[in-house]
Amino acid sequence: MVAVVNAQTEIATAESTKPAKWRLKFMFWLDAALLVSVSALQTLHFTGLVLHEWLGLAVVPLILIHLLFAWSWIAAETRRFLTSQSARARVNYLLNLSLFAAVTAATYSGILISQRAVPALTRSKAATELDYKWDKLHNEFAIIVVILTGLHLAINWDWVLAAGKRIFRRSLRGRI
Amino acid sequence: MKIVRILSRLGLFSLVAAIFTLLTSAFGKYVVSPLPDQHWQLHRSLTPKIGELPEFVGEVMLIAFCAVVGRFVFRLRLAPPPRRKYQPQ
Repeated sequence: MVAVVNAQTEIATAESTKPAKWRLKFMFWLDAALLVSVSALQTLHFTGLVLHEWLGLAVVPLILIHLLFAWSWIAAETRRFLTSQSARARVNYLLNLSLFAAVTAATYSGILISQRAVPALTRSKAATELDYKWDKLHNEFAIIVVILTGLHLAINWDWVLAAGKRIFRRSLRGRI
Repeated sequence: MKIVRILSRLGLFSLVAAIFTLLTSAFGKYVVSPLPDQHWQLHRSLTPKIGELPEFVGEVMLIAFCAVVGRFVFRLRLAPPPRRKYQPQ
């Protein structure tokens, strides 16, 4: 009887942790995709202009999903920002906000100078002359995004390591 | 109900993004336009070039470098000081 109850409890626990495991796996691979995308977006020679522009637009929903998954953290930290908080939490919050601002600025300037993707979506003609001012600003915002992405990775390094260990250990165990 | 919650959160993110977009737009008005670069079209190809893969690897390494530097800085500056053991008098 006790064994049956124990087994049932184990199954129930496994069932309840399933969404958490799925969430962790999803978040890890989403973040990995974002990291690869940010790197690819910086290399216009490698991707070419067409892929660069479409990838830049495709990253926007990925970032929104990333933010939706982090909603509880964002809501809690926004409420706590002006009250008692550690220096680390404050720096992390400001870093994330700056990253969001830089990504928004890079996306906006990218839309303004788009030659392929945005004209295709809006069925309009691309400007014959490049707006050099926004092109220069787009490059500068992109560099800021890269630096802040690195710092964002640094401050969340423990989470990345823990999630990676859990995911890869489990998949290795499953193979053995 | 869940969809309403998600949509309201997306709306909030969009609002913040709209504020940042307005700020970027205002900032752009104050920036002086640089001289046109005649080589611009020559440097930008439309299609991907696999031969430029090292550039991509370099970007990944740049992010990794920023992460390592950030890790050191955050550890040094933001790590809480070690707690002293309570010593009874």
